[in-house]
Amino acid sequence: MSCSETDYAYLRKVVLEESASLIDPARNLWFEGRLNPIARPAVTQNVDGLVELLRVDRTPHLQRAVAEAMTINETSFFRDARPFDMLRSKAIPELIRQNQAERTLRVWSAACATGQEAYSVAMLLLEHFPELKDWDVKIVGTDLSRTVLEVARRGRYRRAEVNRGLPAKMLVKYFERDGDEWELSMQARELCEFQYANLCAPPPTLPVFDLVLMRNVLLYFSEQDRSDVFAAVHRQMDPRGFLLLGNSEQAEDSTDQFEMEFASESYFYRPVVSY
Amino acid sequence: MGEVTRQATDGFEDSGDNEEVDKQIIESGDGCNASEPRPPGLAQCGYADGGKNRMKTLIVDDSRFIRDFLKQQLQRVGHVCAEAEDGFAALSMLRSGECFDLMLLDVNMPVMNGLECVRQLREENIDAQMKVMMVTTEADHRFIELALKYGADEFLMKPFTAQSLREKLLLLGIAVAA
Repeated sequence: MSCSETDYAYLRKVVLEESASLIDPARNLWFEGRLNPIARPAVTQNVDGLVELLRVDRTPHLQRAVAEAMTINETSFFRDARPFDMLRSKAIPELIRQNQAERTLRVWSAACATGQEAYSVAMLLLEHFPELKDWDVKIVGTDLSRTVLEVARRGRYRRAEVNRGLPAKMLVKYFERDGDEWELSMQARELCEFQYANLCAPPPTLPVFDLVLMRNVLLYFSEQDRSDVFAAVHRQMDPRGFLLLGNSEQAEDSTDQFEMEFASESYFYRPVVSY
Repeated sequence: MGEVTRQATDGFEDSGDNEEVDKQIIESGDGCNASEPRPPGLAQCGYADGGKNRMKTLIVDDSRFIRDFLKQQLQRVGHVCAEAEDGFAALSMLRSGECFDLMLLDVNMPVMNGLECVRQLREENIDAQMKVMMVTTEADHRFIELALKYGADEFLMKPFTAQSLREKLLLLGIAVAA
C-alpha cells in the first residue's frame, strides 16, 4: 500500500520542521525509497505505517530519522574545483597573513555529509601551505545526519568515491588502499573533526570561524530559513572571514550581512561589519 | 615488449576482453543514454564545422564497448574523437604526426599495454602538450604511482560513471558542458 497525498504532505511537514528542507511534491516517490529502511526497524510494514506511527507518537528520534533519511548527501572531493583554486590563491594566503599573530585557523564545513569537503580542505592545506605546520588548525564538519558523520569520521572511501574529483596525485599521497576501500592518512584526518549540528536549531558550541563552506545547502531552504541561517553564520564568523556558497546559490536576501566578492573565477562572501 | 613493460605489469594481469564484463565496468544511473539528443549542429558521424576548434581526444582501449561509451560521453561535450585498439596503434597514430588534446588510455591491452605506451610517449616527447588519463580496472596504489611517474596526468578507475569522467576532465583543465 502506498502513501496518500495527505501522508506525503505530513512527511514534508516533518522534514521541514526537523531540518528546514523543502521537499518538492514532485519528488514524493523519494519518501518510499528512503523511508522503507526506517519503517522496518520501527516495526511497521511500510511507509504509510510509519506515517501512522509518527502521527500517534510524534517520537522525536523517529522524526529526526525521517529528516536525516531525506537529506541529500551529494558530495565529492574538491567539488566544483574552482572554489578550491580560490582558497589556494586568495582566501588561505590572506587568512595566514591576518592570523599570523594568533597562528590559528578555523574552518567550518557546514552540512558536510560524508566528509569529502572537509578532507579536501585538509589536503589542500597540507599540500600547498607547509607554513601551517606549526599552527593550530581545525576543520570542523557538521551535519544533522549521524549516519553520514560516522562515515566522515572513519575517513575511508570506496572506489566510486575516490574516483570523483580527487586528483590522482592526491590519492596516492594522502590515501592508502585497504581492500575495497581507501583510507585517508592520519595527517589529514587529524586536522578534521565532525560533530552533529542542525543549521536551523541553536548551534552547539562552535569556535569563531575564519572560513565557512556552506555549499549546496540552502537550495532546499525557505527564504525565511535561509535568512535565519545567514544570520547564525554571520555571528559565528570572524569579521575578516570568508564564506563560500554553492555555484547556484547567493546570499541575495542577506545583503545586509554579507557582501559578494569575486576572485579566481569564484564568488565568495565577506561578512558586513556593522558598527 | 621491453623490460619496463614486463616489470610494470607484474601482478597486474588482464582479466581478459569480455564484453559482458566491460558493460559492468560502467556504473549505471549516471545519465548514460545512447538515445539522448546530441548538441545542436552535431551530426551522427561528425561535426557541422568539420571538427575545427574542438578538443581532439584519442581513445585507446581494446574493448569496443568501452570505446563507444567514452566516445559518446566526449562527443556530447563537443570533442572530436579518434580510436585505437592498443598502445602500439595509438603510438603509430601519434608518431605519424596526428595531434590530440587528450588521450584516454586503458592499461591491459594486447600488443602494447597502456603503461608502456605512456612511457614511450613521454620518453620520445611525442605530442608533449597532450594530457593522458589512464582509464583502467587497475586500482593498486603502487600501480597508480607508477603510471604518474611514467607521465600520466590523471587516473580514472573502472568502474566509473559519466559524472566521474566529467569531474576528471575538469581536473585536467578540460572544459565540459554542464
